[in-house]
Amino acid sequence: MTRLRLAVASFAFLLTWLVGASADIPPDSVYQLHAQLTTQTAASAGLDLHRGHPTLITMFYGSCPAACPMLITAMQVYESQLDESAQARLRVLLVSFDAARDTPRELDRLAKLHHADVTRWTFASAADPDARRIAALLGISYRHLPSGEFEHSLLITLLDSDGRLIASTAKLVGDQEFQAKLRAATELPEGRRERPR
Amino acid sequence: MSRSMKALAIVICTMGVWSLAIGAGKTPAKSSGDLGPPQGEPIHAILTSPPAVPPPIHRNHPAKVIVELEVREVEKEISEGVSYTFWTFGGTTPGSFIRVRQGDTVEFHLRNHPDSKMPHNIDLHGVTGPGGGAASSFTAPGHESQFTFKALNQGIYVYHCATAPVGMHIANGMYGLMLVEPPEGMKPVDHEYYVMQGDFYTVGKYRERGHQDFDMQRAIDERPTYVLFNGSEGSLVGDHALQAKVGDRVRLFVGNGGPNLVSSFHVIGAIFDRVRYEGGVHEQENVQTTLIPAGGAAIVEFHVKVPGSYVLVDHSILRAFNKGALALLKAEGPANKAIYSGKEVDSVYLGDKAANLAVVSEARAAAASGTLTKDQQIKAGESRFTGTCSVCHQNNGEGLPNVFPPLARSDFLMADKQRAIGIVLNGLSGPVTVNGNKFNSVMPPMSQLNDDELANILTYVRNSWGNSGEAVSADEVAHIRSSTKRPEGAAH
Amino acid sequence: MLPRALPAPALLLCALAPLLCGAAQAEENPFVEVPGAEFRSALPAGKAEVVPIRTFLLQRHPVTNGEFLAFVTGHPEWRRGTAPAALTDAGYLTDWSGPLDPGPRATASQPVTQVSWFAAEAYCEAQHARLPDWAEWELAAAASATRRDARSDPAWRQQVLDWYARPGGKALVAVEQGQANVYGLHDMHGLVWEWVHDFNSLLPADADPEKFCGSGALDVQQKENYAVLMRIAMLGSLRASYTGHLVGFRCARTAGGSP
Repeated sequence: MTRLRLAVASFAFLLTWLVGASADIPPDSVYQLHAQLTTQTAASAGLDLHRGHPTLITMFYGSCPAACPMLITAMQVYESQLDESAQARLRVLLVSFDAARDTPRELDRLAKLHHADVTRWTFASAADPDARRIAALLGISYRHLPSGEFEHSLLITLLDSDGRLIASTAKLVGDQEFQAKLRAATELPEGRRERPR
Repeated sequence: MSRSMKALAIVICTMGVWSLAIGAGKTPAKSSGDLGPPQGEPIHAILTSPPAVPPPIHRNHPAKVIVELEVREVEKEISEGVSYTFWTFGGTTPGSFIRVRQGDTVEFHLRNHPDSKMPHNIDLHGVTGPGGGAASSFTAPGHESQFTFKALNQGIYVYHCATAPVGMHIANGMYGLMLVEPPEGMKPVDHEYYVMQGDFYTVGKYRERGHQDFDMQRAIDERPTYVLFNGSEGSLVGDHALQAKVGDRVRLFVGNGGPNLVSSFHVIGAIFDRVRYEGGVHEQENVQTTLIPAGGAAIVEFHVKVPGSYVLVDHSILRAFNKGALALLKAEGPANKAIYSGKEVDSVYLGDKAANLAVVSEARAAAASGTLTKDQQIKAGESRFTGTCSVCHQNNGEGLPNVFPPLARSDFLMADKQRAIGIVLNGLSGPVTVNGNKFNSVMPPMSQLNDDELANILTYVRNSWGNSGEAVSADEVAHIRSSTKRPEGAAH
Repeated sequence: MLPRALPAPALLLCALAPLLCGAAQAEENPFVEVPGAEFRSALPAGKAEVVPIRTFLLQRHPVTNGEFLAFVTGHPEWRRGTAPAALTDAGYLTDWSGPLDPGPRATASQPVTQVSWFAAEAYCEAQHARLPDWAEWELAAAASATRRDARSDPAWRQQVLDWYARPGGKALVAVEQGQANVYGLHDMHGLVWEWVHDFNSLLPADADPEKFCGSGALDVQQKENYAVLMRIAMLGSLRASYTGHLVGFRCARTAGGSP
């Protein structure tokens, strides 16, 4: 290829990427938020790392004594109500707001502790201001106390494959409506599902 | 025990248990109950502004009822010439009246106007659920919340804003009533009216003119400036008085928004035939005065038997006459001397409320635009004089010999204009000689009158019954007011 | 923090602009130093009665329409019409006549309102700054013209409450019309509500959504300080994407250079 052609091709590619990138993410998708996560494998990722799959997303912190273990178990219970092929389509993202203590090693330990399927479950952490922004986006409140503990609300949110909000629940057990929406989001192939509002 | 005694005992015990069982199951009216799912098309609730009440419900099945209520923060008059910022449901204090039927499923929309400064929510005492709905209705300005509840219990229920600080939101007027009719409906009456008492706390004194701000310390100390029916002094008097005819049966839905005071609700000249005290299912009959707790309501009914003005008051009576807790129901029709033969209630109780408000408003408007004439002052002054000063000095200005000095052709009055102003403001006691006669009584200070009112009254007095003199201006009154001290206990 | 529209090369070009713009804006709305203190916050931090707050910098007045216009000029992704629905609401900059034209109802020296928390965060990031934390804001706002902590002064409280009591429909006045407080900050009260970075940390964070957050009094020290309580209630009613006719913001910096 001549240099000119290379330049034109690169420019075209850039242009396509520009246009493509901005057209891709729907305006009401949470993936419009550009935030930096660090996963249990020490990889850097954006909030949209599971884009393309229906995703359960929540926030927690690793040293949480009781509530967060319950939260993780609750998500596993909701997941287990799905049949195998639906489970295979589902992704789960847990974001810690305690980046200081929830290092990749710690996140990895937590994943193993809960026997999470790491091909579909991601434990990640975000630093301020990204953690605050993700929480604000999802409607989760949290406060960092001087003792190092966090006071926070519990909320499990279901996103479609493009990051649009389908449903949320604060009920760790037995939210039938949420379960039904989770089933609907994971059972049928993408194209055949109605766009959620 | 002998056999017959044993048998008797068994019979008695059985009867006792049986009647207990019946008694437990029976209530005078159904007080709670889920009557099943809503039927038919959803209904948009008719909401009314006080003192109107939505029409009775004629329906024999539960329905879905949609209620849309908007919160607006509005500046309005709390008393003549005194403005206050009210926080309202539907633009009024109390807020719009909501009427549903027991068993209805209510889809409640709470809107907070974009111009509101504050977030607001709603706690309806008739809602079975957390916070009475407050949990689900916390709404930022320019946004709307929705929640749904089933009206399980019949009754008359207060609703109010429950956003912190709750006391301030309520004190600013965020309360109203919701009626949940029993399934069989309510007995028809000739008039239904909506009246709600509230206490108000301002930085300035009672009837001190201008814009008044809420005073949190007074609210905490429970020292209201105003105690009012339907959010403003005079809201239910004069042209706005409630109406009825002789022979009518009247039903009042009476609420008390508080925030602090309990009401001793009484209608002067009437006895309540029936009171559903505390809004519950039981009724008391033949009641003179009923207690309505803060955050509570009652339903009272009475027959209008003779014509006249019936005065609604809080019978903690200084609230009625010194803080404004006073409303009127005017009944017209043929007199019935056998029941009541006497004069109108008006002139004794109402004092300046009997005033011809039209000439007063005209004078006020003229004063505001700088065109006030002596003639306007005299007319407005006469209107105010009647019922206030005339009680002692008489309508003809003659006073009462040896007791109250005359004003007609009074040498004492006309000799010194500034002194006259000072006496009306600060009162007078001790010996005086008027037209050669000695008097030694006590005239109370009348400083609750505003500068304009006082100026008009004095102008009238100085130009009536043979007196002839210059007008008195509001500025002159203001000057004396600010340069002299009020006696202990007098208004500003 | 940018929406995921611009790739790296474009970012590089844009990197220089904020430095230039930031410099110009720094003169219009300078950062004023607020000395740190052991502060008795209205919101207890766990069992702590006082919170230590480090010295920080806070802008002298709320960000104005003029300042925000410069921002959206250089950041098209934050203009009205292009800003993503996930990060704003239908009221975003509706007072403006056009996406790049504040117009007569939003003069250059009036505080910008109808901006979401995300927009405020983005603006401050572009100034190499950040939104203040609630505690920082509370510390700065506790001051009167003469005292650093005027919260027990009934006159100060009444002045704050008076603003709450006036209806909000009137047009906003320009910034810096009144007296500065003892730190040299203007309009901490009486003009607009202001976003803080941790606005979603204020109310009791409870797993039970049925427990209504409206009171705030459950978890608050100094219950008698209604002026502060109402600010907490206001911020508690907002979500990050919300905009409000009376909700604006100003930026902060940590003392010592970096945001």
